[in-house]
Amino acid sequence: MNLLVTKNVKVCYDKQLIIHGIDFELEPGEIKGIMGPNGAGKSTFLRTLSGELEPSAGEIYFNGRNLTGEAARVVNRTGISYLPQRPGCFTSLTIRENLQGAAQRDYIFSRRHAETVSNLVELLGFDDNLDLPAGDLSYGEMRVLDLAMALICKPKVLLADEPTAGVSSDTADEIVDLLKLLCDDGYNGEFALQGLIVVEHEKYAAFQMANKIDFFRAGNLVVEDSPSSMAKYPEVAQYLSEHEFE
Amino acid sequence: MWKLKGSALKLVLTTSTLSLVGLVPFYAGRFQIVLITEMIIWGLLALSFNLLYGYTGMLSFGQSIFFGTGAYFLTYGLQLGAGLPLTLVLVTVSATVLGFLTGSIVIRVKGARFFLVTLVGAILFHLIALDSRWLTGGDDGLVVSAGFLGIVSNYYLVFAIALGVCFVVLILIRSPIGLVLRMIKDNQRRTELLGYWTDGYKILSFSLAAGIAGLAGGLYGFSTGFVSADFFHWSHSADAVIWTILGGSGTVAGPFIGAALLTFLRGTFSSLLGKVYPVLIGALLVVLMIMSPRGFVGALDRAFSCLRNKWWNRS
Repeated sequence: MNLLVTKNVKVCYDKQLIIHGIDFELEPGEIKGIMGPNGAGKSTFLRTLSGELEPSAGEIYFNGRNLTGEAARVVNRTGISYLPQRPGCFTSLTIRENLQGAAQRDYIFSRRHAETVSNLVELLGFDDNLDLPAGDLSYGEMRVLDLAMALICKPKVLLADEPTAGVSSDTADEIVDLLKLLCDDGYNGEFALQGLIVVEHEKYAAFQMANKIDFFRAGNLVVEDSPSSMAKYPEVAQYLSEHEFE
Repeated sequence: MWKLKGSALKLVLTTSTLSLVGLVPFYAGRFQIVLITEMIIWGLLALSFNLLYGYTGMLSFGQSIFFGTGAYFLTYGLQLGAGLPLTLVLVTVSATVLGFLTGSIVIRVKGARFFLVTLVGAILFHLIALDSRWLTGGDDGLVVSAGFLGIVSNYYLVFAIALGVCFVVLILIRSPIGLVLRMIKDNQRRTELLGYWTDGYKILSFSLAAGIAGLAGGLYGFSTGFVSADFFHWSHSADAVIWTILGGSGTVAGPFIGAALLTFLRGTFSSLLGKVYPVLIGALLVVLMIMSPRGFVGALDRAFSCLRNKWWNRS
């Protein structure tokens, strides 16, 4: 059974149809990259999957459960975590409070999440500056903290919206390696993901890790294929030549 | 090490301030005791607003609704012979319930409209209280029937309750629930995306703040021996906003400092300066907001940090 399925999903935003009916499938263990030019509807589609936007038509299923129109918190609690496009950490709180806040969702009056927090701190290397305000971190560090917050409740599927955008190439490499690790053994299985959807404006991260690439244009999914075969489609080839990154 | 010294300094400062306030009846005159009692009650009202604005990010102008409700519930409770302790509990519970009911509706309104809805709500409650003379006595008000405890005993009653409320608020803010409230203030969208029912937490904050405002209203009515429809006037909400911002939002001490400072200035200068007084207060606020957006406590914090850094460099 597919992990995540959308059937003819349409999304209106400011009375404009942004997503024109997308059929999408994510299989267990799959990493999907979503690419496309600006305004193609990639982020809108991801926000719809996360529950932040409600589809105007169509259906969304996760593990067979109909999640169409459910609030973001409900979607998150079923096991779909969303990494927003811009840093979404709480800048007025410390790194420790950010992690604790994300972790305590299910155990608000117990310390059961303490071990998870410390494992994630170790994995991401935040050990030395846990009491720093998150607002003092660099953009790249904020992205890593965001990722930690998205992972801390051990989601089954991660929706990552441009996780490497705006960060240095070294940090981008670290984030890509980390995402690969999460899809592989998930730090001894603790944070293992069953599926990952990565939206990328440029081909770097998506091509580095995805099993399949979906190419969006003007709110439609126009091509789906493996990363190595994408260049054979003329409109994708043209887009890739315009957005060569490495 | 420096963090430890900073904490010790704060502890010493808090303890000495509390001792100073606790010993007021031993060194101050009757007028000053009454004035400081009033300051503490206004501080409680400001603290209730601070729980909403300083910790949850909701700019509400509705605190006067609960302040007035608390004052009237105290009067009715005492008239029915419930006794002061039980009446104060009833006052807090009834204001909390009213806060829950109104909060469940108004928290759905976001941004500037939230501020407008709460302001209109406060005006509406004031008009209803003015019109319902059979219930509230309108402008003429009602006399609180129970015997006054005496200036000193009343001072200690108010002081003890205020201390207790501060303690509860401190525990709440440092608890996991307080952390979620601060997350909502910082970024509500992200908090929702992390799986939290943010509306539920906002209703909780609104209800607790209403309970504290109701308690402040009850104490004010009991201290003055009189309640009127004027207790519902939206200017009490505005005062709470000004006191909190002036003293320092997002801190427990800030609202009390702001309320004490402005009540002192009003008591001292309003008769001397007449119509110039509000202009002076406005100017003071503008200057303070430019110099220290985090209010008086923020300025104090900055001064401590400067001193600490200088000390550090010297040693």
